[in-house]
Amino acid sequence: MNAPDADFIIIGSGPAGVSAAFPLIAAGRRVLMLDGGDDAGSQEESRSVRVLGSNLESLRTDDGSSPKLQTPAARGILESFRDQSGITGNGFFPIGSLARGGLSNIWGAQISYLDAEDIAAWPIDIASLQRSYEHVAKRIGISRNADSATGADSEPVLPLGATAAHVLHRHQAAKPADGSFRLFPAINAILSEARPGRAACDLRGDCLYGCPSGAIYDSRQDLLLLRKSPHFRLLDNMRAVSLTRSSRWTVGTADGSSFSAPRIILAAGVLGTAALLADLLPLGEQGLRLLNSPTLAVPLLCPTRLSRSPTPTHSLAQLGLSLRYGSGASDYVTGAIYEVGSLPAQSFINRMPLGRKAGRAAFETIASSLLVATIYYPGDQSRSYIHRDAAMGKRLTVSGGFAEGFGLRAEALKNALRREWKRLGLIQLPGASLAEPGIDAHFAGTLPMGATGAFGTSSDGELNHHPGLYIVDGSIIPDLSSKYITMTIMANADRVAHRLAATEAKPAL
Amino acid sequence: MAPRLIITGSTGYIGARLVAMARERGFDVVELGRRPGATWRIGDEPAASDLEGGVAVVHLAHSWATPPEAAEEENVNISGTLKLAEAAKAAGVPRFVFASSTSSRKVALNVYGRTKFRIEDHLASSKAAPIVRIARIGLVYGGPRTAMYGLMAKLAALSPILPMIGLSRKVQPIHLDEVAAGLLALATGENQPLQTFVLAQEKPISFAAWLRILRRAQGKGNLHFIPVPLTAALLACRMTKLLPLIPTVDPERVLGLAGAAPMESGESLRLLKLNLSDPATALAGEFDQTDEEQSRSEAQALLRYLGIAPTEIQLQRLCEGLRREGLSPLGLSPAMIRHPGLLALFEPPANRTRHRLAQALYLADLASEPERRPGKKAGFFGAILAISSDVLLFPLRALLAGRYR
Repeated sequence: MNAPDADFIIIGSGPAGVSAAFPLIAAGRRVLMLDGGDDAGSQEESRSVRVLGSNLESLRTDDGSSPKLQTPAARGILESFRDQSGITGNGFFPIGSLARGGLSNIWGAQISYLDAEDIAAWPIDIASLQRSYEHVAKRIGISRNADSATGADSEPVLPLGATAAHVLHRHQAAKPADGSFRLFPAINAILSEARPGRAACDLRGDCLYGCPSGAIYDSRQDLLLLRKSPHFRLLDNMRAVSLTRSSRWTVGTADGSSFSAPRIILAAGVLGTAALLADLLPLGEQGLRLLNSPTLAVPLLCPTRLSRSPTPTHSLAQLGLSLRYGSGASDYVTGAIYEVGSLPAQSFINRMPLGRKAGRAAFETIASSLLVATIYYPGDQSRSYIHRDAAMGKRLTVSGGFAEGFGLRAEALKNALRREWKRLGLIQLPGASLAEPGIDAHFAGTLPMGATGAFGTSSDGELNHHPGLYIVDGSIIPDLSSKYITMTIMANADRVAHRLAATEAKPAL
Repeated sequence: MAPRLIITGSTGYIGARLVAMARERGFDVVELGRRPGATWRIGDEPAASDLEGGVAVVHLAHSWATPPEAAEEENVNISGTLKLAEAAKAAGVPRFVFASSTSSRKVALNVYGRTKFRIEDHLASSKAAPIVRIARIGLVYGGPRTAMYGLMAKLAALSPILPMIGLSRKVQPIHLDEVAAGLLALATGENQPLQTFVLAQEKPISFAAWLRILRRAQGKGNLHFIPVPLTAALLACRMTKLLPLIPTVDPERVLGLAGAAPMESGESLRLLKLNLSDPATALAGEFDQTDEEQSRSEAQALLRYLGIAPTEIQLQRLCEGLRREGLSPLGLSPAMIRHPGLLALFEPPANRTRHRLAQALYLADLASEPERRPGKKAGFFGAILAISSDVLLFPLRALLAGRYR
């Protein structure tokens, strides 16, 4: 038997994978990371290529999906997964990525922190999670949006867009006394001050086309740091397809290579990890429960800002919000407010019953007064399952749906939101839409920490009945609140890796 | 001092090309014809000042305006050509090139062929005979899609099934450039042993095969014919005379299509050093090129309509995008391309994304995106104007939107 290839093999180069790698190499463990992608396309500078794609793939007609998913950047990140993962959707849009850096290439970069109440049911304590939050925050660089009118304290800030600032003022002038609705400047993983290899945000608002300056965090930036360590190896174009255990674990890849190590860390994303484990899990009739956040998009008009000029800002979330609209534990949503003026005009013009010239004129006139709010429900409002597709051998199908009574909740929420918009002087425009499950890409809870049985993991993310096989991505997050989950996934991966680094595993020679 | 060349019929299909080629080669061209100031019509006495010092006269003009009941011998083309040839001889012009036709026969089916033959005959026995060169020209194709060639190209592209007369008759195509080069060679050539030259493809092909070549060159598929007997076609012509509201079709044209036997052209071509290209190849290149030009000018029009002054890179992008989407060419009329503002009459709402013109404009908008300056926008009143004119145009557009669907 050959010597193992490393102490740990990490599968996946996204935010969870890199967060797990740092503590391990810091402790002198040898880490081999298998990346389904490579670094092609990461050095693209010209705006033309970012907007239209290197071979003009954007010059296809608008397919009606979200503008965020139509950019060449997004297509490049999602396409290989769609073509090769073998995962299909049924009332569900299966989002995953095989690209280097995974979904962090196109994430909304919003940062939320869970509190003790949020993780009451988890088998871990809040202090250890908070320590990891700090590690990750320091590493990725986080800025809060700030209204230039209010003096900022020492924290890094980026300017709020004028319309968002206006709405925030209205809110601060008349907050609901019971604290049921909160509105605050969003916190994003965007640099307001340059760091080595990453420029500060230049406020050009080109975020959706892929940030040219590297101001928005993505895990490819961390890979550059990791590769400086002699303990770290990254292999390109190694899509893991099988996991087998004899005396230690062996990972087989699509090109026929295999790598072995005493411990494997899965960080392939919730759907990617489920696909890899399909043979190890007794996926029966019921399938694997998947949590996702039902998502509502609401277009809003701020009449007082009509035909004002937009101010320079980034085009990610401007404001964060949270709303408790009922007495039940799940009657709680969070969300974000975006300024439409900073989004690609075409996707709006293509939906107007006007000629293109008039459409553009109309868009430019009202764009700076338009906002879009995206609202996320907690994961327990979803009813989605991953099944093994009996007819298709190894392939998986994700069926999407909503919890029972979801319609009633939606009504109650819409009424509560209407009340708040009115208070903020906003007009809700027609066209609010509930996204197809999966579009949210907030996935978690397939193999929750602390659960017993075949579909559970230990508090260190070790899959039950499969010693040495650890999972650090969203799969092990036991429940999905309506808050943005990426930061928590990263922090939890950091926490698990610290625990693994501290265990007395004999470093492989 | 540039050699002087006198050309009649210089505004016609062949004439325009010949004039351009002659000027390119450094001739001082005198145009006799429909030019402003000094209109010359066949039958007129040419001004001596126009002829003096010329190396040759190339006579392309042909008048179709003959009263139907006039005797054929009275045809103005005969007397007019003789008058011109003799004037040239008198002015000391060394060569007179007469453009005749491969349908020139004593007993040709149509007046045109018989008239050409009569003119040749009269020239041979006239005072001008020593300086006369006859060029019997075959079926001319290529270049601008006008005249008979334009009509045939359109017909061939019309539909895969075509009722047609004279399918089995032989035609001898020759490219417009080759005709012009041949005529120039005749106009400048010294001491040619022949008097009558044939400018036409050596190997005749059937008229049906010719129409198929024209269709394929335009990227269309096969062509099937419904043979129409000549008598039926002539009857149809007569019907057009009787029926109101239908354009009258001159039986002359139909008879011309019914055609004549091919002529031997090998020796002429060798003497004039003309090496004729294969029509299918020549046309394929030509239609491609004109499609490319068309696509480019359409792309330019789309961008200009959206108020974008197009840069080279944007044009290239848009052409590529239109090509990939199968939207090129859209078929914008030349007037649209010159005045893109007219697109406002045809543009469907932007949310009709399956409409070809809406798609093309979306691509144009997107192709210009990377160079667009943020913050540059129409003022409030400009926007109101744009939107209200859009709304006002709506009923008209609903009527016209089918044009580029």
